Amino acid sequence: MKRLLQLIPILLGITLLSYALMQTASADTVDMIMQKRGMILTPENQALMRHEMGLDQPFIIQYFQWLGKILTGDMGYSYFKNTDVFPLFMKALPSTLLLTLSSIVTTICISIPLGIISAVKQNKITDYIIRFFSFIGNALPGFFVALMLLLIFALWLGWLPVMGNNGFVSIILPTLTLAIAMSSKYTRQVRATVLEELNKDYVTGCLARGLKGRTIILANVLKNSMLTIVTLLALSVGSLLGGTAITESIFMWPGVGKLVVDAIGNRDYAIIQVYVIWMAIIYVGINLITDIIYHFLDPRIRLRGEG
Amino acid sequence: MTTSVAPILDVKQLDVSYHGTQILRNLTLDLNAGEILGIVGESGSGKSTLIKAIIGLLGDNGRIDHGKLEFDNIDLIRIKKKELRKLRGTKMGMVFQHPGMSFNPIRKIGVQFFEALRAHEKFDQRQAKERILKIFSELRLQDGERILQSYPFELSGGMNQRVAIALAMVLNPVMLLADEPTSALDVTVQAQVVRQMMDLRDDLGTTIIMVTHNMGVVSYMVDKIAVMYAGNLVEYGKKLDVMKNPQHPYTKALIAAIPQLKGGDMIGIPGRPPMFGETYLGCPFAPRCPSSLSECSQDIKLERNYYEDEHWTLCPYGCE
Repeated sequence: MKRLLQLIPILLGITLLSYALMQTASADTVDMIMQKRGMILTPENQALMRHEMGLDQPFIIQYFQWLGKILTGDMGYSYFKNTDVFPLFMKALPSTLLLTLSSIVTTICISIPLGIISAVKQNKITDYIIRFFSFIGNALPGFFVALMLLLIFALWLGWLPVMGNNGFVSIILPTLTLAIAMSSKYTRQVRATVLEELNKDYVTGCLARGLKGRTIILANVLKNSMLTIVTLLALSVGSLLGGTAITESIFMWPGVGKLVVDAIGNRDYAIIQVYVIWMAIIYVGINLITDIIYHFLDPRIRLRGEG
Repeated sequence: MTTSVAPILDVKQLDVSYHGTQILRNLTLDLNAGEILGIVGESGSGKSTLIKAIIGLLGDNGRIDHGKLEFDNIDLIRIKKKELRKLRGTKMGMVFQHPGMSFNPIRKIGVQFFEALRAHEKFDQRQAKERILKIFSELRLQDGERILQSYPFELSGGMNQRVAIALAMVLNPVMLLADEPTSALDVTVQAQVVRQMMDLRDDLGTTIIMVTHNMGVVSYMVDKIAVMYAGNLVEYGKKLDVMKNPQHPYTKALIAAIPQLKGGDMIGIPGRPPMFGETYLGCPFAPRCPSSLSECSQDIKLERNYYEDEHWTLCPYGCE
């Protein structure tokens, strides 16, 4: 509950800051709208439009007007799409949520087993092979992976659609694109974490009791490693929920990443503002959830916190 | 000697190295069932290495280069990994200096007990609990249910160590290896842990090998003393023989360094032991030895010189 209250000053600070930053570019908004509508750019027209949109008011008044609207549920109006922002945003959100979920699950399924194997077989041939591929996966930029996947699976093999969201098959390529990059990173992280845990004293204790290797890894080492891994995963979930602009753009995936990249191109500040709020909520929310998971995973935090 | 019982632990001419650096040199000792052996010596004398070699926890970098290591007529050098795993916990238990080394910090103690039991035998929840509470009562640990429901950090250090001993003993192994089990504890708690280990021997006939710095603990609880210096076992014998009639100058120095309750300053040993991998001629203790002779640093042969039954030292000049 205390954490939820903390959200308020954080949100106020972030929105104020982003509003202020956008002021530096806001003059362009009018120009862009007028250009798009084919209006003639005369100083009078511009001033009129600016007045209509309330852009001639001092910045701080604009901010509070905007804030007041937000609080009454009016998320603003996109002058480019000629519609309210909120429905636009809510339409994009499910796609992003779906992509986040599928790519995180894929990443976990790939990187945790590979990371553990790599750590257990440290400096053996299996470890080298896994590390080799994770190096490559780390080194390849996302857009390149995306294009290669498109080339192979969509164009050459014709198995999967090139773009858009047409049900289950459409999600495979964007998921893979994101999962390859993240799994490469996480395999190395999991490996490092598990190796660190394997050197801890309690592992010697487990060995001295004659526990099976499998029990030591799965019930002991993995559980302790999860503390580190959860933190990292949470950060990734945060950035994924914010939309993955490049991947979404390449695959024409209609998520919030694509929405906001288009909005930035158009100086469509109403969308950008909502996006900023969304990001702030995500990160505060993710932090909260991470802490809750910690409570479950680490009794030292749970019980000392109460005591 | 009329009857000779086969020793439970039989170590002969054991050489152990880490990363190719020799740690234990030509180490020979044997121990009968039900005896308590105290291994003493400074830090870095190879005491812990010896224990780890016995239970097979030298790790990837350590290896036994030469010698014989038999426990209960099982060859511990040639044993298969799988067999060794089955041996640990069932026939050999181990307690560490810090109880944190025994327990996974974020799992309940009870869970870790169940896990240890189930690694070796089929137990259902109820049988397992009976077994655990039995060892608790043998070790005079009260409030067993509460202990099982606790996390390691919820118990005091001394309590943790006693529970760790119970965990090592839960399948009633014939031999308990203890690596400085009291060093990390308060003095008052040390006594409890020492008493607990002595009870084990008295009640269950457990053979105990314990490594310690603490000569007080040694003189109180062990039957036999092994003095180690720079990877060599320099003196070995029954406690009273060694304490009352030490032969090796290093043993004498160690005994002189015990703090006395009344009178007499304790006397430290100047200098430091040779590092592992450092080469030297003759006796490793010669540079620090108050009674060393010139030939001690020559290429003299160090072999066991017997003084009494089962009491020997590597120092050829020990007995003045």
